[in-house]
Amino acid sequence: MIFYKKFYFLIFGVFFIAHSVLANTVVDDDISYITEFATLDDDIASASLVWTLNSKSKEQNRKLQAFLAAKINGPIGRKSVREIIDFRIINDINFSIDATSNHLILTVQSQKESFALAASHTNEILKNTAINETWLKRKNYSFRNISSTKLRTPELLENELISYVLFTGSDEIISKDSINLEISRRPNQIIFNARNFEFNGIANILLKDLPTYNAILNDEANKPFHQLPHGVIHLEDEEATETLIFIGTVQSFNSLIHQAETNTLFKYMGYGAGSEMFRIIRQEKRASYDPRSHFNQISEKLAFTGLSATVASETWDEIHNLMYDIYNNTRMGLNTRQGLKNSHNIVINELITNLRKKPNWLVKRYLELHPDQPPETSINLELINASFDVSPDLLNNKAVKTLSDPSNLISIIIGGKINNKIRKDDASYCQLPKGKSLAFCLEKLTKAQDSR
Amino acid sequence: MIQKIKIIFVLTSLILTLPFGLNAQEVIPLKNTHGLYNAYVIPIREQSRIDIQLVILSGSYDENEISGIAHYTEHLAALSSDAAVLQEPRQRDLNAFTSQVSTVYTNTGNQDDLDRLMRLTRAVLDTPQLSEDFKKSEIDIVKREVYYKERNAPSRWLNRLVLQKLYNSKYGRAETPVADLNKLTVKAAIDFHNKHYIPSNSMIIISGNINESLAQKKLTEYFGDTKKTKRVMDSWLNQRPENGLESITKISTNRLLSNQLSFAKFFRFDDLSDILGMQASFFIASDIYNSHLNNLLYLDGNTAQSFSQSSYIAINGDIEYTASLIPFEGVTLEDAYKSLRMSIRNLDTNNITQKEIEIARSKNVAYTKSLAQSPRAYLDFFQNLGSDGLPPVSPKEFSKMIANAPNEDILKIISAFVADSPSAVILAELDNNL
Repeated sequence: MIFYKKFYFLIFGVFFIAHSVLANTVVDDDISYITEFATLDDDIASASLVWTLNSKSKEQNRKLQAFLAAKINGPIGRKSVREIIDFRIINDINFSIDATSNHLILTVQSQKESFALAASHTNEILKNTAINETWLKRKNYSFRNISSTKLRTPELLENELISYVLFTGSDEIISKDSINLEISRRPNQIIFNARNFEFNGIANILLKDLPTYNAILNDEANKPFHQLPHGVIHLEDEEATETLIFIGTVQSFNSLIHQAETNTLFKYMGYGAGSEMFRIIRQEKRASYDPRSHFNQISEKLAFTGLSATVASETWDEIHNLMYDIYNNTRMGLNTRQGLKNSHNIVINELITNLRKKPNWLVKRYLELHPDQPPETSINLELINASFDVSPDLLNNKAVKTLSDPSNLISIIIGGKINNKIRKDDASYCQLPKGKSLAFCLEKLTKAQDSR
Repeated sequence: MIQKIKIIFVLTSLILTLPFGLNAQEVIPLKNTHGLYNAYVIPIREQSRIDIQLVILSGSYDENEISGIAHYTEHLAALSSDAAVLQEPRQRDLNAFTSQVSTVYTNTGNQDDLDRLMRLTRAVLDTPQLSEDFKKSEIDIVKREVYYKERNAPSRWLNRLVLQKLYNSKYGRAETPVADLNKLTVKAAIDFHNKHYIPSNSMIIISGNINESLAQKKLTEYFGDTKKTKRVMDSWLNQRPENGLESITKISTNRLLSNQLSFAKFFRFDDLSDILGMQASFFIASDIYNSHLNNLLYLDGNTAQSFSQSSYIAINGDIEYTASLIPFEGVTLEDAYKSLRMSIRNLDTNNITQKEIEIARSKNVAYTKSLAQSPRAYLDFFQNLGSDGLPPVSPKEFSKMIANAPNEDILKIISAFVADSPSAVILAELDNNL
């Protein structure tokens, strides 16, 4: 057994101090890399097992997640699902599955005192290659696509738009056998997280007897991301009492401070009761229960951003204009000093909550920087520093360059009557036929705009 | 290549609060409750903040003419208390929620904020003071909220339908909030407030960084002028289904994402000698019968694509069991319903082993331990039994109650569940052509 001993240091200014601890556990092969963070709440430990695995399409991505979910939820050998569930409840062991276009991630989390047990249970699951067909069907159903035009929630709309941007390849069917083979091998990376906890030996427990062959599935690089077009997409529905309005885009950032500043401005526009969306659209106009902003990092220096509200259908046009006003006013720097300070505090609190409570958030940020293996020198999640470095007092002067030009935004209206005033040419307007997904109009607008 | 990198972030931010511990959660009844139904303090040394929960012992079950009026009243009372105390009353979202049996207002801060928190709490009981236009326009917000919840969980509608069939009513233990949205009026809300938001129908639970004497002092300071009157009667406790009811309704709909059945069954546990102890027995018993059905229909069987169950026990021992089932591919709604009925009938208490009971106990104890991860869940736990007018129970005390719950009571509740009792089912078939 070979021991590699390395020290790494990170310092995060006033709010964070950091130090490294000598690594004294190794995995005796050259497949899995191990990284350890210590940001979670005191009682909790987690391990995220990461398979480097490209998904060309969202459908492929769903299949991979469904397969892993079936493996976790189905019976293991002679153990019934009931026995397994009771064991997990009593020992407070929880699993979650996440996937990007490049990785499949399984995270196991439990109280620190039972974490070795949780690791052993995880290994038992991973070694079980017999997939129960009933559970696989169930999970394929659970992970199925639900169109945002059906339930009309902003969350589904966000998911659908992000999937359109990230998954740009062809929808080739992957066989069950090849998925099984892929997920049966050792994960490429294991990322631990716990404070004041020694993970000695845990990696060996997790990986015991798992085969060590290299990835075989979808090993060619993914195609570049799509960009969202600008303009208006409208699914007309005169009978709907409620209409969902979204304006936004996928924004790329030239620096991490630019990203953190943009996040702060979107918090100002639409996060919580102090925001402009809440103040104007809910409290003054009495028009919506759920006005909000969206800021969701989807790749390195790339985020899904926007504003949304669900309103009585007869008012959608007025509120749509108001949302543009809110965006433009914020972009013009007409923002209160206190509001910007509060919004920056929200960004920081969200960051700390993510570090303390959401191991997958940190894993995804880490994988964006180090998709295949940890770096030779140091890991530096500069986004954390950049978030603290935002100066709310300077934001009004910078806002016009920080936020995208409004002409780059896309409006998506689901419900309500057509408004002829915004129905212009084919390059900026698409009426979505009932039963079609948003991709129909996104592709149509993109094609028209590209040909100009 | 073998690499292990270990990085430790040590959070020292002042923004962070200490995580909840499970130590020292004695529930202390305050000696002088003045006009309140009851008042408790739960000192938690490890916590820096204080939470004050005002529990109005009335909720949606207490609506007898307009569904949703308790919810609209909650909005007005919360906004009015903010307007009376805070400088910027609309700068925070509502700090309250309405359940079937209660409406709970939560104010949180540190010890320096204590007077403000008490004033906010006290102001909830005052008749809402907001402009007429604002009160009226809040109906629009309630409408948007109700529609929002319907969009996010389309099966809520089906679950309401089955309870309407079970109780042959749209009010009390059943409700119809979407259909009644246009019946909401300011006057009806003020009438509801005047009737239910009285000190003797209200309980206070103060928890966190506070001791008994300070809690008592502040209670006297802010509620010393309140006088004891009669608590509002829970008339819904007498609302029971018709004996022998077995209602089966088939519908076609395009409102759901799949075929789905919604089932409700009403039964009783008559031995009320120890009401608090009964709650612990009920938790274990419902865990056991839920597990049995879940095994047969979902975990080890293939009747259900998804299956969820819920049970609610009222203070008089009435128990309402509800289940929602999406059939597995190839299984008809009728067959799924038959399997569900059969699974209930075949549950024989003679076959329930001591080991099963002990596993159910362990799961409930594990649940209380997991509450340490969520301050919100912790507060919900305190007010859960409080909402029935019972003393709140801390997770630690609950663990003891679970350990002491007698097997005999647990088995009696399961027998009552298995026995024939009034039930209703809606079999909803998806028809996207509608």
